[in-house]
Amino acid sequence: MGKQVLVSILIGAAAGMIAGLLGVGGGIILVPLLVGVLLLEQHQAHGTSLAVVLFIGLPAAITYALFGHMDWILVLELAAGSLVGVVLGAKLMMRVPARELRWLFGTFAVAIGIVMFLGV
Amino acid sequence: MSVAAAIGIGLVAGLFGGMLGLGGGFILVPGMVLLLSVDQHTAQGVSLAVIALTALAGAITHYRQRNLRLGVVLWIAPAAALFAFLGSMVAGVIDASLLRRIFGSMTIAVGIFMLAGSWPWWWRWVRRAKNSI
Repeated sequence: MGKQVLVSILIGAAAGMIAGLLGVGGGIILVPLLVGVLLLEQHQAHGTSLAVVLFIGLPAAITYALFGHMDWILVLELAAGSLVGVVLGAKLMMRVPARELRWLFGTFAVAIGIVMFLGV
Repeated sequence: MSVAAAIGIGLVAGLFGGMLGLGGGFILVPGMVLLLSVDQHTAQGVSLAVIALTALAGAITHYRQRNLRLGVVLWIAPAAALFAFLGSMVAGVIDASLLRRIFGSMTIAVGIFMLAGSWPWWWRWVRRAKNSI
């Protein structure tokens, strides 16, 4: 019991810190750790991760807004597209092979990461 | 025009998020910075707000399907919220160009991590090509 609670707190701290610093959800850290360390099933890890991401996103977004780093109109535009995309993505997931998808996303992330790092 | 571009970026981020269960922020932030010329800090703040909204909708769906372990959320969420606040404070005081470099290096790391996970896929093709020679 005690060990698992300590591990949970450490997972939350790591995911929260990186998510807040980078402006991302933290799912990329949460899902593998929930599956690998806390031994949740894959679909349970996704659902649990989303709930944690909610508790990361709210305080982080408010903090950014207090620093003056927020554009609420843009939030609404992106959220409109994102909500449609998530529903479509969940349906497409059955048809698109996961490995090819990871390969596509991985290549895309490395390329975008280099562009962002160099500041082109 | 920029409204259509913003909705399009959201759509792509949502698609990958829905299919892989992650990746929303790593598409949203570069999308805003590179295509909409939003500054790095604001892009990250907007990304977090969009992710919170999308996560709320997703979490409700998963909760109804009983794919949500509330006990685990209860232990992880307080530390996650506290450190998300601390991480945001650090981001808030960092210079924009440094923040962009940190974001870029982490995105490259995430990409390599994803490619490593999908490695058997292209390795199979390499082996098949070798055998056919």
